[in-house]
Amino acid sequence: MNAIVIGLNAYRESIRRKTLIAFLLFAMLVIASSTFLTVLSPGEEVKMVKDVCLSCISFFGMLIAVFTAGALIPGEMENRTIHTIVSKPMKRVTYLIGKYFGAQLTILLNLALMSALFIVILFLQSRRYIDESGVSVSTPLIVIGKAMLLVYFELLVLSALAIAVSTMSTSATLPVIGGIFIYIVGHSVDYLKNLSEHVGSGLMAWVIRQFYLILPNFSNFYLRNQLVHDDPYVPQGIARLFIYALLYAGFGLLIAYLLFRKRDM
Amino acid sequence: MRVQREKIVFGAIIIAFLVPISIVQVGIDRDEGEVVFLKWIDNQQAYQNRLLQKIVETNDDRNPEEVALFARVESAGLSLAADFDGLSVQDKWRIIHNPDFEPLYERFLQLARESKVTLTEGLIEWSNPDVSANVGALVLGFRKLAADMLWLKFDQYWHTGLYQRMLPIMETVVLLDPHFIEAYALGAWHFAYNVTAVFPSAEEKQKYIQVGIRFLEEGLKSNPRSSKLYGEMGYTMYFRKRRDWEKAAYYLGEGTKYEHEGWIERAYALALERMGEEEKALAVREQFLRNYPDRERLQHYAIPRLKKKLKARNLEEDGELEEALRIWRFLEQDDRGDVVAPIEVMRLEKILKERETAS
Repeated sequence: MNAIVIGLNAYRESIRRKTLIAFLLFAMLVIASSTFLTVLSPGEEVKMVKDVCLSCISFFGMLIAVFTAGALIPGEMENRTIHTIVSKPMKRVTYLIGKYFGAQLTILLNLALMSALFIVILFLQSRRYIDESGVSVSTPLIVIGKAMLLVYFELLVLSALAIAVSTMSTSATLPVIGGIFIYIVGHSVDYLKNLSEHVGSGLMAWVIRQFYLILPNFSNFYLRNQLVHDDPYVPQGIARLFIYALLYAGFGLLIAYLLFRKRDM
Repeated sequence: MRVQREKIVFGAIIIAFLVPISIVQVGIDRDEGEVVFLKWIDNQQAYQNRLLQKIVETNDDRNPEEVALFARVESAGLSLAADFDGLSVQDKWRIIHNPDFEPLYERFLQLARESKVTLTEGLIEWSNPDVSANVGALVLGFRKLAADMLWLKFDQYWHTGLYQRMLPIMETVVLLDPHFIEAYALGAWHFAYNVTAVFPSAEEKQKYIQVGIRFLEEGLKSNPRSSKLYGEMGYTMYFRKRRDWEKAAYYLGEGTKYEHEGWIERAYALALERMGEEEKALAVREQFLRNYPDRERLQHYAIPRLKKKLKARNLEEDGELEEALRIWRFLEQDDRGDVVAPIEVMRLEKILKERETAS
């Protein structure tokens, strides 16, 4: 119960932050302006809209997740409001889960707004550029929904890791930089996979492969692009990715708790 | 002591998270690997088909181990489903999850790691770690967006006449996004029409048409179920540019197997007609009419002509050459664009003349 109260409070605090509002507005602007790019790409109008919008949602989603999750705890430390909370008979893990819950609400709200605009733009563009044979009127909502879930799974993991970094910091700068760094690393983990398959030494290959397996791998969620583009060759179902995201989010929160539980306030 | 125990407990909890994370990651990798495997099977089947129909110009240059593996895959697939070759992606996906396929998949992975797998998009994921495998990582998962932005550059180069810069851009676009169908289709079309128009010599023209064909072949490797690429290969490259009706009919026919636009069926019928396969062409056109009843006008002229051609063929088989010639002459006069009728007129005239001389 306490976690929900803290979460709702964190959510209210987050949605009032000007940085996040600016990110959201900018994202909406880019999504809306994707319509103009279609003029430059005859024949691929709908693809262009899908790519620009999906990339925009992923990118601004990442910024929103990092800025939300990374700034919640340091913000309270700066304002010293955290002292009044942790001095109460409440476990620190409850506080952390509450903050994470609040960050998720903020991320979901932003994602929902961006997705809604994406769906509207996509619907209008599909209707405008529908071809004579009537193939693919518009990408079904369920496909877009799945793709958005994959974007959210990525942000679920990223925000947990950003919270973990934020527990070590007194200002929001470190968690934000850390979050962006984790995002870059998470998209580069495939390097390790290739390296492990081509490295000469067996032991070295094993070590690299273990790193590859345990580091957060955001390219797993790249499947969203294939889903949106109706690629027939996609793995069936996204349940495995959901489990991966949940496990990694749990791992991120565990690290956050370990760092936070004995921290002097 | 308490601190020590706490450390052990937390260490155990961390491992308890990392182990399932690794297991799930292995599962995700397997899913991705199976997608590549499935695509490889489709490509192998298509290639085998092209070899049988003599559509492939060169000899079979596949690795013998790859060919052997495909033979095992085919026999395993056929034992589980009689129509294995024609199954949808979902059905094939189910089939390859059968335990019989486990050793075959493992063998595929092994060959892929040894770069012995030729017919798959895996160039990106498996065999070229230094260049292309990491392109995706460089653009942080925004591969498709990066490809789109480069595609806009390609268009700009075309409009400013910088043709020599178009090819590397096009290759980079499809490296970033191997499923960018329009990039393959439009790129090949540029080579077939606009770039060849710049060069006066026939040799240069053919060279660039060949570049377009190679480009579309790459596209088909990555997208073996793209009717648009089959359509472009069949119509733009082989029908319009090479005037090779047989290959055109093959590719257009393949295009009609998957979800396709109406023009592919019409072009397929046209290619069959040019091959002298009027019966098949008529069947395709009649099917087109059933699929698109609102486009009757398009067939209004073509179907009666096809029926006349069929009649002429039947008359010729029955030995009524004069009557057949009369129909072909009418068809020649009726449509000056028909390339089959004048040939048939000449052929029949020659036969009749020879008969006259002999008698």
